[in-house]
Amino acid sequence: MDRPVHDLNAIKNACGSYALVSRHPETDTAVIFVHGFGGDSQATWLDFPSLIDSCSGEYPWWNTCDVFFYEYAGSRTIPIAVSAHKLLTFLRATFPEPDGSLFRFSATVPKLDGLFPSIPLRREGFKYKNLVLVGHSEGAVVIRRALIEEYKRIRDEGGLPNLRSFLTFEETQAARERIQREFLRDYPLFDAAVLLFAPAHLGATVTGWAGVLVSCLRVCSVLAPIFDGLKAYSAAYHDLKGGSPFLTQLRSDTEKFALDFPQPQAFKARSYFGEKDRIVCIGEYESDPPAVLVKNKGHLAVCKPSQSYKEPLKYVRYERERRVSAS
Amino acid sequence: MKENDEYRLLNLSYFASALLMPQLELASLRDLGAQFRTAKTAALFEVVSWLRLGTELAFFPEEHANRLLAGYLDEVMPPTPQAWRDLKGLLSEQVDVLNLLEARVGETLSVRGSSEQRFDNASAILPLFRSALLLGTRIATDSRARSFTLALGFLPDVPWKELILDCKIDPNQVALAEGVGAVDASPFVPELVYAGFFRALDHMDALRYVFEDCADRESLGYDVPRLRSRVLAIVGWRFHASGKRHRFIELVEKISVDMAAEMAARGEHGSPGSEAFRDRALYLMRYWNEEEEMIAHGVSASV
Repeated sequence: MDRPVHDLNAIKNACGSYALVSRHPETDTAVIFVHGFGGDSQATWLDFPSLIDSCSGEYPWWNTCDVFFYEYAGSRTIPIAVSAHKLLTFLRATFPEPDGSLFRFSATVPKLDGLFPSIPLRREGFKYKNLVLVGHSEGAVVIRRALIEEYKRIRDEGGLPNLRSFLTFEETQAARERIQREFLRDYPLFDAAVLLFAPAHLGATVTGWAGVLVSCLRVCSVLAPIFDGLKAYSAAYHDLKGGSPFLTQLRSDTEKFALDFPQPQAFKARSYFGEKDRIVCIGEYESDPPAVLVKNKGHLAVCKPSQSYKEPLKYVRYERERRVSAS
Repeated sequence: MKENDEYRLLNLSYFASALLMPQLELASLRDLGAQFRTAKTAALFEVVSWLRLGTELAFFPEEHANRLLAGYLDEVMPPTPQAWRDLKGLLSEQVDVLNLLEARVGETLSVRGSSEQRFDNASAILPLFRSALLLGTRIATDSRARSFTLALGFLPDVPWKELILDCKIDPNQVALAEGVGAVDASPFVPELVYAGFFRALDHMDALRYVFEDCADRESLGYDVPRLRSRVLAIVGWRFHASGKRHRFIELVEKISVDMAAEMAARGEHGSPGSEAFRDRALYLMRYWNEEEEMIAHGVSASV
């Protein structure tokens, strides 16, 4: 096997986050992973960074992607809206034009300042054409909330065109499409493909020793049977309850915006749930395509590809292609 | 610069940002007593070991990695002969390498003549190494896991028993302790140690996962167990379950009993929770200690 296509770098102003930077000259896509409740940029996804390169023969699409494993602190203690706001700040700094520090030696090493070459590996002003957002569990909610926040900001600043002002059907159809294309050109974030693993957008979580396991153990391959066997995972223990004000608002906003303004794909997320999931409520929003059930996987395993479960590598590509064809 | 060095510099940039600098900053804090200096020395030597292994695999460009090490040599290497001796006591698996490094401090990261086995196909193993380095960084920067490391490996027997084993633990407080950010409190607040213990289990499971997933790939041959041993030699001391395995087992047993009691109170007698937790936690301990290999070589490691 040749050297991996991707090299590692830290991400400026995003502690714990890291990126895999592709050497491929046709790189045009950013894939951003957002972990869930109590997770982090590594344990939630485990073999994803490794398989992206070791399976590049089977899944060459990944070669043209820079892959970001984003981490946010305090996922159990900070309101989701706050985490979402931080994610949005990161998204604005990354897509479509990423920070140049990503493509050069950018570590601060005071004693050796200036001793390392600082020539960027991408041309100045490099921009991605495509964005894929991938969330797990609470991370899915964080992504959806970030999109809503940005959409409302644009709306309040008068950036949304009025799609209801056309009189005839023909006028409406043609103009709508043109206007939406222009909107996506100006705000490409909303053209993102969104893929959610075990999203908690309809509610989740537990307390007691089961809560400790959920909070502390992200990997749970060896410990997975404990999760699947615990009866404690019932609605009585949910913090992110279905019907909570936050989730109700999120759902209402997402469905409304998807209906009002159908072109942006970012409001239409594809969800993948493990059939053994006992932590989140399984289901999708009205505006989403139908969720997919994955056999023999639980809440934590569904987003972790392995040598015997490479489907997550495919799912990400499918969502991007679905987005491209919809556009 | 050699071909590809520009790209490999990104890897070194990550290493310096995410591991070297944070560990140096941590070591500069005066938050620990003298008895924990060995832990600080080991944490810094761990950084050197990662740099060395990454350079051997050509993950880092050698010239620049050497430059980085030379720049921070005074800070990352054990400062005194006694510190070297303490480190050798803690990292018994690495004594050969430590002896060589001690004799040749500052020369180069490539310690030729060590007893370590070389890799057959270093390029093919690089994605796995990268995953291991990411997990090693996660372990090294985890403040809760560090509480557990200090309690498990360095706390005297009496406070270990009185502070950690004999106290009553509220699981919700453990979950809370796990969720807060870096704390100024004593690392031996029981809930922090328990949270660190669960984090340690998670780290152990993560490392096991990435290595076992590659174990059957014929193209990688013996490089997978080779790399696994090298990585465990670097990070193993943090949950030094080999030297302090009785403490590890005591903690597993206590939590298992507490979990069973909670489940019984909820009427969940048939739940596999506590027994399954105990069995799997002990399995992870044996994996971390490479006890299967020890058993294969005739060394008893029964639980």
